[in-house]
Amino acid sequence: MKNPIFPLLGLLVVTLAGCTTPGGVNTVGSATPTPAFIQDRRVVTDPYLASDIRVLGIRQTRVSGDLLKIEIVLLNTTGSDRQIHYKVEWQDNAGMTIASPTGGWRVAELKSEEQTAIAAIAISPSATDFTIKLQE
Amino acid sequence: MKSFHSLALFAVILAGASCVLAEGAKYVDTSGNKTIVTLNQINPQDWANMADQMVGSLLESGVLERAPEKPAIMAISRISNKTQMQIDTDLLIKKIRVALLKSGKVVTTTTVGIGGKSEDPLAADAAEQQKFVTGENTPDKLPFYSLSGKILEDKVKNGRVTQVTYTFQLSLTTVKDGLAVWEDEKQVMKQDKKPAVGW
Repeated sequence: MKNPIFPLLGLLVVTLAGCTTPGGVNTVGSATPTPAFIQDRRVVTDPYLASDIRVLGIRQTRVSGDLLKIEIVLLNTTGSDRQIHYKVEWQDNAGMTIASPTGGWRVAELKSEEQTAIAAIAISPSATDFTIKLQE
Repeated sequence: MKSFHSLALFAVILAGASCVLAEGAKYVDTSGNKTIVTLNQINPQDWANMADQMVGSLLESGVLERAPEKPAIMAISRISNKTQMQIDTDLLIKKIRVALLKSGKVVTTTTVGIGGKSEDPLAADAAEQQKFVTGENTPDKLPFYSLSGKILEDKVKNGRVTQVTYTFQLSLTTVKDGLAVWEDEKQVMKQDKKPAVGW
């Protein structure tokens, strides 16, 4: 007589397999080094977020002649997909925040153990500095 | 003693009810992350996000640097609404115009419009009157670029999950030769899952 537990066990395995989320993201890219990250200053008020979503660095360049463009590289260190909110604020050389009609909080989805780059371009040539805010 | 308990219970219920009723209207930051997200509408944060992405793409492309006169003059052409909603496309275009103006790369003409209709008829009339009074026949500044586009909507359903995609397409055309020198398409995708039980 067959053990009735095996079909049930099989069904359970199949069910659980259907529930699991995809694993981490494998990546491949050029071996030549990309431009180095700029030096940054970090203020951490949520250590859990800082640990789960690690800021690897920030790159900076100019586009369209005189507009500042930045790219922040994030790594989701957790085993699950995460959604974060972020906001980029631009400051002029007097440290004043430049208002933008298109600014605001945005949502970014980071796959498990995936490295993601978020880019932003200042709309004003007077933008010389920036602040990036990250929130769960 | 029994009446005291009843009174205390009534007070607790009243306090709880007042907490619920206290949820009234409140101000929220228009660019904050506590704004309402709905499936069947393009929300304010969606307009801002799309405008931001489009402006970034246009500025990064470098086409605005090729205009012979800086800042380049741009006219707004037709922005078609192909969604099922009645929307004012200025919710997108105005943000783009303001951002481009702030960049110093583009100025938008308000006296040149589709079918000769100007956005600012007073400015157009005043310019005509000025020409008549002074006798000067200086030509109007004609736009170098024209901005046109389309907003589309696509809805799909799979079981209890509904997904709505809003597609924003924009083209920047050089007026003198009719060539689209910059084009881009951005999307906002939203999903909503109906509860298994309930209506």
